[in-house]
Amino acid sequence: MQAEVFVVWLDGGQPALTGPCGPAPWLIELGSGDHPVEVVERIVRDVVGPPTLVHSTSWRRDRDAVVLSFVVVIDGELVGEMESAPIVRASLARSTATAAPRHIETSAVVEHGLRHLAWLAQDDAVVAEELPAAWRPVLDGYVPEPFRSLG
Amino acid sequence: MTIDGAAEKRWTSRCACGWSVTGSADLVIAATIEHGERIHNMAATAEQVMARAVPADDSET
Repeated sequence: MQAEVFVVWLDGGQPALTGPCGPAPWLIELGSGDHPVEVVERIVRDVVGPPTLVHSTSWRRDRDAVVLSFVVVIDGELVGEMESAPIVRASLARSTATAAPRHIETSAVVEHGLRHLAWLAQDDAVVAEELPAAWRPVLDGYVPEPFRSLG
Repeated sequence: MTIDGAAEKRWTSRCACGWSVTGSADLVIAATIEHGERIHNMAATAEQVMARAVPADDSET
């Protein structure tokens, strides 16, 4: 099992990806006895600094492993010399009624992660409390796709 | 930490994440193992590192 970590921050009010691997997905190996959230939180804390939020947002089968995707929100002060790139909107990878998508782009995983975070910001008291206020208007744009398509 | 007398040569080890290191076999092994453990929670042996390392001259052309 692997964790695929997307470290996100607000760069001048715009969501951006960063991390020790730059904007690329940060892969972390998970042992069979590991708790994924604990391992991700520990390694992010050790390598980047204390995260604001750590949330698993999706999973898929890839690279001969089960891959758990995580969105990790950090404060901009932790970015330092790490490479960063703005997050651009993307279409989601759609399943059929009973089967997973055949192919999932990284951009679709990030899109799904931020939509998940947008939902948590409204539905989860802890996320609502911990997420910095500057994220609210950003996540307001990650509304359910049918409504976005009507815009 | 020497594998088949490779320490005199310069080697390059690249991670899938884009990180790389070039230097003696000892340096490349130590740096790659440290990178794997610290960043990716992956354990690697010296033999595994050198199996994927390439001579530095080859990697730079």
